Amino acid sequence: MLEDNLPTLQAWSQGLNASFPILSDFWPHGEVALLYDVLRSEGIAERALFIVDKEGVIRFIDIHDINEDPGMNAILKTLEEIEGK
Amino acid sequence: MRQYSGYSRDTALASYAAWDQGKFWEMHDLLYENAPDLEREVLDSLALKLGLDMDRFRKAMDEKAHLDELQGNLDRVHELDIWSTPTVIINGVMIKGVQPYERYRELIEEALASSSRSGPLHRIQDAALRILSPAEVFAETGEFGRGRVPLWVQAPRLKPVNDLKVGDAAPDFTLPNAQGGEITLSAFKGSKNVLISFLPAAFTPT
Repeated sequence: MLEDNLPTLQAWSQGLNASFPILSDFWPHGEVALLYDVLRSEGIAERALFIVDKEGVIRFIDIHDINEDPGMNAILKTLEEIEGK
Repeated sequence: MRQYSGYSRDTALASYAAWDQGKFWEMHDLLYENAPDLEREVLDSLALKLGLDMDRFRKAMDEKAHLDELQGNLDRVHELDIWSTPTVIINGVMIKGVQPYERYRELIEEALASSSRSGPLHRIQDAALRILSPAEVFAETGEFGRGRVPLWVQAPRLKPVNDLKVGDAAPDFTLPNAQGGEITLSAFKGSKNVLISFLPAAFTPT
């Protein structure tokens, strides 16, 4: 989910060949980022991850520096917990 | 030399030419009323409508009298990496795109609260004001300064609105999907776990 307009994202997502939806939080600008407390005041979002389980409950929050790669381990661990494995 | 799209260069020059005669905003309004049909003859007719001195107006247009000034402004905007309309600079903090009213208010109040009139914030504020009125910078310095002005201050994170924690219900949303259609979070309820990843901008390294 990004603060860009749709044409920009379309160009980007075609390049990525992404298997997941890429959403535009462009108008009203950053509304969902604001809802999730990850909008910076200059109008761009933090790099942030949320896991929402099947009941619609937040199970994982990670807000990290734009230059950091968050890695997959914590995400996989949370998903395994949710699935009771 | 930057590329200008459509009538943007000539309409900008017409605005400058009207400004010479004290009718910048009047021209601005007429241009928007008449968009997108803004070829040169239309610009002349708008100038006539505003009661401008037509010899002066035509001369300014024919000679592209303000082209250097316009180019300087454009260079500056590129230098500042301003691409979104609107982009607002408050106390040196650049805000891209439309924000809720409260965000502007928060930043303006923060700026007002910083009482020092000679500290770095104030200097940046001066610079930001100059950025917003390049004509004044030009009048003062005779140039469109390059790299003279600190451009960017890392904006603070906004105060949490919802203060979300693990265990809270995820706020629902519906957003357009770049691959088409829309995605609503609550549509996955009962069927799928969802990973939401916020990225600041397209082309963020993944």
